[in-house]
Amino acid sequence: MASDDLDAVMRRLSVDDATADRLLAGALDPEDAPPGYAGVASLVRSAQGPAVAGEMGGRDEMVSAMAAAAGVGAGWPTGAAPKGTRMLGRFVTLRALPIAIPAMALTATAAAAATGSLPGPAQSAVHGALAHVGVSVPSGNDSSNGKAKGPDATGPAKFGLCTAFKAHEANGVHPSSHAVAFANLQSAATAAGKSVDAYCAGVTPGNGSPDDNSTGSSSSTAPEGQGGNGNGHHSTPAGPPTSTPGSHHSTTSVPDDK
Amino acid sequence: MSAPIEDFSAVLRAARAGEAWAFACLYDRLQPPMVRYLRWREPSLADDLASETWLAVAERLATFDGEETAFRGWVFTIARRRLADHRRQAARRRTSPAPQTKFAAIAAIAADTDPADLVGSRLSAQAAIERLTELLPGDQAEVVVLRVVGGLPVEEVARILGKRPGHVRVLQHRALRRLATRADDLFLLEA
Repeated sequence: MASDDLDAVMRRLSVDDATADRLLAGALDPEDAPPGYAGVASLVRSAQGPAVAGEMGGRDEMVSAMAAAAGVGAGWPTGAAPKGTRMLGRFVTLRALPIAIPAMALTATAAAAATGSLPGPAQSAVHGALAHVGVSVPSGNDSSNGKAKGPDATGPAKFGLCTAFKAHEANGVHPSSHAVAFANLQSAATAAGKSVDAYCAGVTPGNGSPDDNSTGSSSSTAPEGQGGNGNGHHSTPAGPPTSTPGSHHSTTSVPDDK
Repeated sequence: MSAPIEDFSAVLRAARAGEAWAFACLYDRLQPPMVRYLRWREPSLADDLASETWLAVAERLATFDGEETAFRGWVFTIARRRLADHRRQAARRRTSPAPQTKFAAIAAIAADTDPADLVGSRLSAQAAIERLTELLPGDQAEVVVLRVVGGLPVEEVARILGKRPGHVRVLQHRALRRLATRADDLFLLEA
């Protein structure tokens, strides 16, 4: 192609900024696209297609982990954590550990961790964190000849399993019978001649023995009309948040998460 | 692309307070585009990188203040930084040739794709991203993916990439022209 012809083609294929913006935003129907751009418009729309199952795996567990991580962070001044305080897979800081561990142990994060169902990095982080206070949850790297054994529901993991069980029930989700951890909990309760609810009543971290001092639950609650298992349709929250951070950085601030 | 969140500031406040429903809202909006971006860049580790990104987002949420578009940009910035961290660490550890994960992923897409599915409307999102970018130089491709998949305006893309907005516009125009001139090669729709 002669250079003059090429220039003519390039001019013909040029689009203005507004058209380029609409094209890249998927706002142009392929049929309405400028000459030469129908294919691009079609591919853009495909690339922006709705979520598929493979993209949302572990959603509920990840959401629980995020809520727990934010809960830990909410008690801190804004800004980066002091240098040298980062550990546990970037999940909590050493400085926050005394706060983080009890909080984490009471949240759905620990619940999910107890069943080993958090995404890999989160599972490892929670495993490490809870190990410091004698609470045993799967590490995320555990394997025993490929056959899941699950945590011992009569030992230190009892608290985590019970918390997980309650968190699932609170969210209106029946604890999965296919989860080895819950099967272990059910077996332990049955062996003790109790229902799972009765078996878990008053359980505390550490030795798993009952204690009359209720620890309450820091699990998040959805505003009226919303569930923790939303499907992407969201309405305005009914109530104000229970706490807000003291100050914020600018929109252009990027966390230094090194 | 999904519509904006109706009251983003309320969702953000609730998320800062640790409300799970708010994180579910943010996750549902941003996880698909983020994981598509990461799978385009690093298919074998995209899901782990996405998890790490979300944890970092939650941990640092108190440091963010802004509108939804800025939040999207912030999340993609963190994802991109996680990816860069991973690649630096991998480069330090590497004692053998790098696994051809990217090419393997593309080959897998090609092997699983019926020629009829190459018509855009029937292509999976991930395959469409590969088709959009496979003939573009790296900087043009990333601009296109951040704009198309990330749903980000030029200014946010510029901030993420550390470029001037005018430079991003130049890159996207070059990318679009290149795609259009190769339309017959790339898109059966044009036949």
